[in-house]
Amino acid sequence: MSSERLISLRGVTIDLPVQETRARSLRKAALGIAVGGVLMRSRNDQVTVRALSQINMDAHNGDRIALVGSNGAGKSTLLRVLAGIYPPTEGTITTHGVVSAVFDSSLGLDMNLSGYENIAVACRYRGIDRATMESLRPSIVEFSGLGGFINLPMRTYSLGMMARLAFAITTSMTPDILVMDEWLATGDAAFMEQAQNRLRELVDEARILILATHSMSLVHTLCNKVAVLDHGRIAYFGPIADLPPGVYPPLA
Amino acid sequence: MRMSSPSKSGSQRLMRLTPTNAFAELRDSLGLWRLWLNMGWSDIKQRYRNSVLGPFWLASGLALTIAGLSLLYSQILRVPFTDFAPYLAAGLMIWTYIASTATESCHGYVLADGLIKSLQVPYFVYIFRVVARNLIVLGHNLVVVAIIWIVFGKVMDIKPLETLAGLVLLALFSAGMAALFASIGAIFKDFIQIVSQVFQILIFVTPVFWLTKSVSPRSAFLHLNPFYYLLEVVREPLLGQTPSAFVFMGAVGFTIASLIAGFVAYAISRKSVVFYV
Repeated sequence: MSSERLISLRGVTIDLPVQETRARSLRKAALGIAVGGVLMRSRNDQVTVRALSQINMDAHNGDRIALVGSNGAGKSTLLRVLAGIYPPTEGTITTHGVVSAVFDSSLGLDMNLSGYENIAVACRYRGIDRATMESLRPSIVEFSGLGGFINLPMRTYSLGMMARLAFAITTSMTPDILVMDEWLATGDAAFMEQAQNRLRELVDEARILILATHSMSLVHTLCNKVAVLDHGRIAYFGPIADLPPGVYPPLA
Repeated sequence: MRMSSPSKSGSQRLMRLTPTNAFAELRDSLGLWRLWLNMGWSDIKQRYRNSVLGPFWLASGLALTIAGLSLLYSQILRVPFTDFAPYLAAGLMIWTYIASTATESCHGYVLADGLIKSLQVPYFVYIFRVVARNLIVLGHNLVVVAIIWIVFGKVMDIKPLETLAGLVLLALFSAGMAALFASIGAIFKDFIQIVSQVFQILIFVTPVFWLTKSVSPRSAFLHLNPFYYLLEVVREPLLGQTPSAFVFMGAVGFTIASLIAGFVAYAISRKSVVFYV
């Protein structure tokens, strides 16, 4: 059972190509061939940023992991790796179970459709069949607390309202692994409490939560483990209580 | 309140992208036909939001072009208007489909960047979405063709089975082409400009406005041009002729070539696309 849901990263490295410094155009590729160094050379010219370097990490049932670190430390990149969106440049990732990932509260939805219609769109994007969606929809609507706004186009929503809906949708699917970026903090106090309760429910059912955040109060109330990222490397990964002093002062 | 069994909700296979291969992604994407069909539909709905005619604006544009050009070209080419109008209608309808699928597919990944960077959906879905969207437009344009056929009394000429076979080949060909162009277009940002310019020329090189019998049957404009075969394999049965074995084999050959090229391009690019869109 315990091996049913887990994530395992082994030596994961991510190099992000920087397009602006060497504009990808056919003309340049053609010139590269004419010069004779051919594609190998142009490949070497490619400027890359090593966003993650040799990440080893395991997540087991019931883990509530906070990803912390300064801006640009690689939190969002790591979330995308965990969600299976960025394929590692080097290393391997093994995931067992359904991953639900939320990177921003818009969920890639159609802003001209109502929140109600967008629930169907979001479910479709996530491989949920229509019947399941219909059975989930009332509870999503209720949890979002949007009331009559649920029937208005999403472009009329505030960021906080979108966050409410996005959160309601993604957590209603009972993912095995829930991966979230910080947008959660855009909700108001009442919603934050409601959200934290639901997240606790999820982890109580032995699921995994991975949350990137700058909010230390969220880390303390929701998480039992912390991964400190520093320039694309893991500076510390383990129980919050065992965090050595000096590794990440805000948490101390 | 919530579903207790996560595995109950349908096609959860799509939730993992990295460990799979291009074949698995193709299989999964075909299984997700509801998704890409819906995406195609909502693209069209969004494009024509609050418009009275909706996608029929495209069809009416096509109708106007056909009416105007048929009058002109039937005089230039000295062929009867009643023969030329259906010929041009079929040709333009097919060409519009090919050209807009080609150009739009160059941005098939680029415009789906938000989804590509947040969903675990195999990328073929974004390619099929472009194809589906254009097939839906083709369906609207078919209405124009149907009206012309009724007006000119050509309905009984149509060879339905051959037309259907032609349309299937056309759809498959365009799917392969779209996969190829989407992959290249994601990485080389200039590619869409090249494709749109090349297709502006290709419409004149391909027998859309002129008759195939106006050039030598061995003309390279016909034989080396994949679009000639794909055009003829649909147009001829619509006009009541069975495509020659040469045209049919050509269409099949280029369709297979297009599918292979598209698949290979997809397999090569699929691990880098997310970093480039």
